[in-house]
Amino acid sequence: MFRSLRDGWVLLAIIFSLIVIVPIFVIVSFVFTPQNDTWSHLTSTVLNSYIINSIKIAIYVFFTTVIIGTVTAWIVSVYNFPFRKYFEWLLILPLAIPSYALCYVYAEILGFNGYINTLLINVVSINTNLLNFYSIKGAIFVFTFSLYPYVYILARQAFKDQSASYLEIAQISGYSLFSIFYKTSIPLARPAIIGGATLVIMETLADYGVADYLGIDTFTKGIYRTWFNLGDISSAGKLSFLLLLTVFIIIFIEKFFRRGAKYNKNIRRDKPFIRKNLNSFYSFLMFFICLFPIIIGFIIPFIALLSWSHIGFNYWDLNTFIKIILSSFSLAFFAAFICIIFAIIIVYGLRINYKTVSPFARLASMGYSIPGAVAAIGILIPVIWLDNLIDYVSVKFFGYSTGLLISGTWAALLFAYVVRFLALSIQSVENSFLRISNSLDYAAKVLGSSGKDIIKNIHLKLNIGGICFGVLIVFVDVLKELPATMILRPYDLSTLAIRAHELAMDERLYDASLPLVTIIIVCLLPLFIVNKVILSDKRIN
Amino acid sequence: MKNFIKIITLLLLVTFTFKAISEEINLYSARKEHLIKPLTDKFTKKTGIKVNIITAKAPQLHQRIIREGKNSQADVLLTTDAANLWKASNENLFQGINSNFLINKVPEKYRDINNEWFGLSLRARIIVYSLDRVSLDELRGYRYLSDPVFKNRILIRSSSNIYNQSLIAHMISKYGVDATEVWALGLVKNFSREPAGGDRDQIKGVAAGEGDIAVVNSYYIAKMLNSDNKSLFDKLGIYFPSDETMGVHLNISGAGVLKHSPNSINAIKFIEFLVSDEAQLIYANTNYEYPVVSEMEISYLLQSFGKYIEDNVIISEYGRLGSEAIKLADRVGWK
Repeated sequence: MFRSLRDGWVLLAIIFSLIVIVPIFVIVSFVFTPQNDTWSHLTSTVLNSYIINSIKIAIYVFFTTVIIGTVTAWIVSVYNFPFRKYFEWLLILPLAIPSYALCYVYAEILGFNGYINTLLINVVSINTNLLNFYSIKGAIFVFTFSLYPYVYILARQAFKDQSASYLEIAQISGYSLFSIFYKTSIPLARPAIIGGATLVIMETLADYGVADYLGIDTFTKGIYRTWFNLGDISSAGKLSFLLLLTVFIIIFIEKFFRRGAKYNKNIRRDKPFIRKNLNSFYSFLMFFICLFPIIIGFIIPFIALLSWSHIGFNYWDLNTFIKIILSSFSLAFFAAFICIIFAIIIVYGLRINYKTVSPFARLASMGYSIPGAVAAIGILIPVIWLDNLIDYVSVKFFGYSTGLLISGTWAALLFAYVVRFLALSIQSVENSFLRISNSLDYAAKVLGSSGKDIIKNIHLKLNIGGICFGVLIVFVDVLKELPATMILRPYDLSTLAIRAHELAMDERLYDASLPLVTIIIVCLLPLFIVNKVILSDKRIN
Repeated sequence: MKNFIKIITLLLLVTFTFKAISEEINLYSARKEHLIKPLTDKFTKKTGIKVNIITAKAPQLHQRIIREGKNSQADVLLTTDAANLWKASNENLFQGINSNFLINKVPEKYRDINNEWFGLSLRARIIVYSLDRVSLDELRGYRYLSDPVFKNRILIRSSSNIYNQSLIAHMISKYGVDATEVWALGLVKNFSREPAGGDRDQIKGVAAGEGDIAVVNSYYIAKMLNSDNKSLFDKLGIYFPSDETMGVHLNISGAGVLKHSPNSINAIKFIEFLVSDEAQLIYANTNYEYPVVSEMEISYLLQSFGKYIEDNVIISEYGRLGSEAIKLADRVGWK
């Protein structure tokens, strides 16, 4: 009985992965379209600089987000200082501001006649206009402060779950907390940190909004240029495949190095770690280290948007606005829910039979590194194929045309979100599942629990933190998502992100501010809930 | 889980029922919702025909239309730039429109030869310059912008933007590829900074002294001159580039009825409405575009810009020469 259930899980995990892999394969299939002169034009003129710029940005953003994410996660995990509890969740907040919005805001306030520009000219006579925000530096700045929370969230969760005894033994052996940080905690948390950084890199590489606005030729911008301007979707598909391949290789290398080490370990946390109290100087220091990314990534843009939304308030009509909020919220909610179900099934399959399920799970995570608009085409093609098949069968047997049944509905859109964001939920669920020792399963089995009971009583309870973060991150990302929603949405459905983006692109930032502020506020809601769950999670243990 | 499935089914049902209502048209718009909504609202009020909108970039909408094929529910494609209309026509997405009203209203050069699409509004790509640092007699046609006298003085956005692609295409149609390439090479050397941001950023750049001359679409400066910050821009002049060979570069926004449109009669009604005086006034007064219908009065602000010399180019040339233009931009390193 138990045996067959286990095989059932593996099969289920593979089937769920395959559903998500279909659109990815559609994009890969573009590689087999015949060569044309666009391709040779690209390779001979611009492709090199696209690649170099993208690599540059990705490497810098990797280091900056890992440093900020890990250091802040460590500080809030082991030290006691004023407002520490608030910082725990405040540090996540920059996630609620879309990268492109952060970009508009800083371009505006640092630019000609902007708040900060005027302030600095008058106070210290520095003209920020000359800093040249429209550069690779600007892009690194934007990605760093909008994406570091991915590393922070996963690292904090990992530090939290590190057994207090590791730290205590290390402390008794005479190591300072700082040397424990890089000798014990960092290596132990490595899968989580690298996992978060991988998400950051995938998102950075697939970005279009920021690169387009700042005028930087990145690889993804090249993909869009090929499609939108040269009208060559198959070359765009080929370029997307190259991007996928790169990310796949990065992930493969990471997994390869991780191979030697087994990270699942004793989760018994019979006594919580006691945070170290600091003297006032160090308290102050820690306070400011944690405050810094929040100020740049959240407080400044939030205040700016808030003050502008006051100016643009009259533009919005209440009924329309409520309609937009509702559709944005429900899309994000359902997508997060579906993604987490997919993720739990796939990760569970991974735990049972890593070797078999792993390639499928990795491929199913690739959607996150496909630029959104290209992914949308990858989804449109199989969905419409299915529609046409149903239509054909229906016409043939019932003489009734069903038309396009699935495409242009919520179902197609939700499917797109799963393809795009499954990586996020898999990453958070996997990291917490990995930490549960297999011996717990065996013990439960010996004690006569069925597989279902093990899942319900052990895995779901121990992983509630990871699951919650999985839901949260997907929710937030769907709320911010633009290109796939634009292309695949049903008639008359609009989202906060789309309306804000359209207004901002039309350089009406003031009118765009209210929907952007609303996105942030809507993100806060699940954030509070998740935080509550994590706090009560302590009591479970 | 069961409830969840119920909800999903319900949502799908709701979507389908909405689709079944008859007096409506489905609009794919590459113009943003806030620009097009006042027009569709007025149309609905007048005719009772509901307009369902999806907005996205023109090439994205093209893909959706192509993939949806014969089952597509979309009726009208509305977009800016003649090149986008030309591409849609070239990909066989439109059907011919049989409307004497449209043919009479829209001048020949602003519509397709087979009446597959019609222009709805006009915009000019103009020069905005610093009154302090540029004297009017320095300015002539676009071709003179490559003159070394403008070294480090010109601001223009990326060539990824279709406004510039169509300008380059227009130049190619006038001067040929080789001469245009030499011109573009000179122009790139005259940039005062790497192309970044939108048209407004270029205007702000001139106001902030980063460059002397910005090449931008007419309605952007019009909007800025009508905003609360207009005092920041009172040191700026407006010039319509033209010389003996080439008049000002005008582009259009336009629309066509899609090949598999299920409501093509209402779709034509909608496009006819868009060239009616009432709709043309909205284009002119809220978005500061020039009306495509020549006898229409333009807004006071646009009148203050002065008159321009129209060029005789057939506007679909922008589309035909579009990819040539992009490749040229890549070769000369125009980012």
